[in-house]
Amino acid sequence: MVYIKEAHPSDGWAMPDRNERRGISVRDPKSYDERVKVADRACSALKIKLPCLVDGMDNAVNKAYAAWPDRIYVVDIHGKIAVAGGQGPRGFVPAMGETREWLEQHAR
Amino acid sequence: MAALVACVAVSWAQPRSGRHSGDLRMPDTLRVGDAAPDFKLKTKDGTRDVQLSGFKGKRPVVLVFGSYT
Repeated sequence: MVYIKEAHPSDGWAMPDRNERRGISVRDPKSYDERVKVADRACSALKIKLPCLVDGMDNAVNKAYAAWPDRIYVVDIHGKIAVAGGQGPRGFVPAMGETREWLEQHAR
Repeated sequence: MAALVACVAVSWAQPRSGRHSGDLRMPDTLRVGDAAPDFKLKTKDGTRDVQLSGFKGKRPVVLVFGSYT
């Protein structure tokens, strides 16, 4: 997982009905150290087993992949984009299916 | 009637996009077959740098981007 800029921080585009109701209230990290702490909290709370990388405060990787608020890509063995998931949140779930299908066909 | 006209006028004056200032979505730029932009990032525990190009020729990589909220 690549942890990127918060989608709906409490001090930004907050979505209290969706997040605070579930006990999630996060202010937008203002430093890399804060971002790492929130990433750690997120990965623990969401029980994410994938290795978790943290984007820099310049959001360079987020920008390169137009990733915000969430998105999935598969990069093939040649370093090319094999699956380009749609922009989240709507594109995220369909991309999970595309990713599964691609992996079943190519990564055995 | 005046109230209706006022409402219509206010409605026309609103931004057409209706986009929240916190909406940071960017246009799609990467397509299937494009070279994946390389990057090097630290793991959250700070113990390891991971570079995407390090997987080239070895195995495919699934990139899942997201945040807590």
